[in-house]
Amino acid sequence: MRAVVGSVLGICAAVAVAAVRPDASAQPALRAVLSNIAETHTLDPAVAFSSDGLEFVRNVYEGLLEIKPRTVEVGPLLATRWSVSPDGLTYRFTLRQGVRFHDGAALTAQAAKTGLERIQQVNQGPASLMSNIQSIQATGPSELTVRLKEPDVYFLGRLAKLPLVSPQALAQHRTPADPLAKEWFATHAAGTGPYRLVRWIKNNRIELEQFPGYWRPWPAGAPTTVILRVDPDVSTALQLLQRGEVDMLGAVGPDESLAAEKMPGVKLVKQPMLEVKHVILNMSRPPLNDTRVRQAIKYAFDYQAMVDFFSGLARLPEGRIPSAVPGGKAGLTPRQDLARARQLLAEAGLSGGVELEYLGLKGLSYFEFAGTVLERSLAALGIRVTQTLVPWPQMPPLMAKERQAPHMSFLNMSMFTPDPSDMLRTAYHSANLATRGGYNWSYYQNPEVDRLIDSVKRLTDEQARVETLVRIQRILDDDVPTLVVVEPILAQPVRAQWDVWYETLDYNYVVRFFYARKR
Amino acid sequence: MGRFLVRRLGWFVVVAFSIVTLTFVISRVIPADPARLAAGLNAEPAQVEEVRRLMGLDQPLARQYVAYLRGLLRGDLGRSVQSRQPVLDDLRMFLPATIELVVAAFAVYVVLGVGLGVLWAAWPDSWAARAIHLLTVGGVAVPVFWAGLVLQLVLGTRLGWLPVAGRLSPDLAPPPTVTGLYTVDALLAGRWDVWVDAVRHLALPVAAAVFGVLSVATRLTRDSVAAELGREYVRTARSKGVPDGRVLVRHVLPNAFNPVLTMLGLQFGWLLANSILVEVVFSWPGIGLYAFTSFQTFDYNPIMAVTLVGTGTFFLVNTAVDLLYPLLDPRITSSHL
Repeated sequence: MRAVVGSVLGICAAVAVAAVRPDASAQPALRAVLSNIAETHTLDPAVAFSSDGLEFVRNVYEGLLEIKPRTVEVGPLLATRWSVSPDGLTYRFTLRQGVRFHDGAALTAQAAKTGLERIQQVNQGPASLMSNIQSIQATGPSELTVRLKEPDVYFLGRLAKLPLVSPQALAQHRTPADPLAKEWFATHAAGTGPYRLVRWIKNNRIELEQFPGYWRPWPAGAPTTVILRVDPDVSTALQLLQRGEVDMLGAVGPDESLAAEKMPGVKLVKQPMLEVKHVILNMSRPPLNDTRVRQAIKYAFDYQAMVDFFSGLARLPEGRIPSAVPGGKAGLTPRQDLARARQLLAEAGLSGGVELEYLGLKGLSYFEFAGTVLERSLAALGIRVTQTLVPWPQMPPLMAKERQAPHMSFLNMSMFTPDPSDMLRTAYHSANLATRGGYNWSYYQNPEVDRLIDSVKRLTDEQARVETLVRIQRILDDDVPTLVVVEPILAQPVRAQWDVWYETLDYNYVVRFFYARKR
Repeated sequence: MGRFLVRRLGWFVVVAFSIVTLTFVISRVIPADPARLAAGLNAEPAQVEEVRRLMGLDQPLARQYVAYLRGLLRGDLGRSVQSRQPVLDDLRMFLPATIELVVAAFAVYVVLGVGLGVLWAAWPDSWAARAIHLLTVGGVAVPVFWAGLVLQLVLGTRLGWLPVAGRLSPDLAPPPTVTGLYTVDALLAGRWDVWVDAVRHLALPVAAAVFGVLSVATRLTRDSVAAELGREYVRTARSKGVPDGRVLVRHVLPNAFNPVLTMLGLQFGWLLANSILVEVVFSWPGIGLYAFTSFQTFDYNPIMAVTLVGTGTFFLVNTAVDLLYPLLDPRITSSHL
């Protein structure tokens, strides 16, 4: 009898609990599962800076501004308005009212200042976007003032990539030995984003759920639960997609995308990819220190073969900047001209018998294919190419040995901010020489190009910026520190009922689920 | 026995020290830059330097080596360059998943491998023997990851019988952690649904892991049993009218088991080594997958730690096997060890 009474009471209690549990969403639960081949090593938004990390950060944290969905334009987010001083050095932001972090702390100007300064102090990944900031001041309860060292028309675009952490969490979890609470933020989270962290089962999955206190109304069809899982073997991920256990994939190559497109219930989401693939010519080593030899290689390369390799998921580049952004259509589409190549090589006094080394990345088929195209194309000039493939961690140190580094290599250059000159700075500015740990693997040094690259962000007139960008690309096209060989198109397999957009400014594999819709 | 254990332990220290030194040298000789990778693609040179400094990778190699050994003596395996987390915490997290996989695979392996071997030896001309023969040849010929892929495609995706990846369905939360083995923890928590789901998730990775090494146990058991079956004592027992089954179980198997036991000990280590491939194919979050991602990023400390775990497992299992001999064969006493 007692047992029966107990059970009845228990059931009543359960019903009561269920009845009073606040239903914040009033939406049916909707789960989205994204599978990637690698997992982030940290959840700290001041450290995470690769697509694996941003996959988490962009859904859990927010910045003062955002990159508007499906564009490369900047729009308001935690800041509603801003003004710029006439000298372009002072930015005043008005913060949104009523925004709370996942731990309940309120968003204030002081909180925003603390969050931004933490990124600077941690001095990892995203801090590189803040090098031009002179000072950050809370000039009112909801007013934040940022002063720059020099004008930068793309500053707002950089700011949009800087996620804010809860000052309360920072205060609670800092220790004398760890004043920035790096230890805590590496495995926990407290942002203002639409999703909060439920659990992280390492090397397996990160589970996110709708944050009930989110400041925006929840749109119908947006997922309420998000699972970011890791499947290191792409063929496993493809099977999970086919079975419907995974809704979308992270990093997959063109071959896998085309295979997935044939599966029932799967579609390809195609987007312009803000990336241009480069063959690097190491100018610190003869014979590539001779411009004519590099030009000969430019005319010998079989660009169409490279485009064909991507089976329709790539196009010929029009310059060194992606064609989808201003300054990208520079009219510098490369073309093969073997007669011209032979003539240039003869002028350089080179007549065959030359052997060049190509260093590629192991595991990505197009790196190897680029080497093969080089092998075949340069054979027509009597140049022999030897190919070495290594894992990624080995590539930068090998290329950093000036005059010993392989003659040729390969890099994907992608946009990370709306500033196209960043791409040019990464690959061609003398401040980023490989010996200094940068990606100027060509050892290209041209003071004029340095000066022009530095000038772009100071030009307030868009037409002047485009002209400068085109001018830089023309110089590079003559000097040939690199070949631009292909501009890929992003094609990601997704379950057909999902309407999603991949963040091409975040290395292509990040989805902001708040903007995703299930039909 | 005590002397044996002390001697063994001494050897273990020597072997472990050599392995640590060798792994240290090999991992540092290859030109690679884990700090660059950890700092992120767009990191500026100064930030890469900062990571390098934080992780002590800017120190001379000899100093790094001494610091590592010192830490090791205190039970500190260092931190991962990538996650900045203590490697020991990572091992604690990932080891249970691998133990669950390898122990389950080993249990299946022993039962199946020895069972099929005995069957093969006892009825060498039957159709069953021919089928076993074919199975073992297949196991030798097919790489583990390929076997895994085929199992996934056929039993998982085509027939839909079993899950193809992970330890648990996403609808189920993991059971409260006691041992970290989902099957055990689910039972402790009284969650049958979780237990069934965990076992179903184990099925394909275990099958893939066992398939590749099955032939070793099966063939060795068959040879060993077949050799014993030809001995005089078997003929004597049979002539006295002892039934075949009793001869096999009571007389032949105990005598045939010693070489099988040695081999099983070594095979446990191989199952552990194979777990790297199995875990990658089946998205199984154990130390195999941890090793795989660490190798890819040249994350030195996790690589060293996983190598040490492997060495330690080989040592423990083989010591256990040596201690089992006297129990199984009275002719071997502990003084033989």
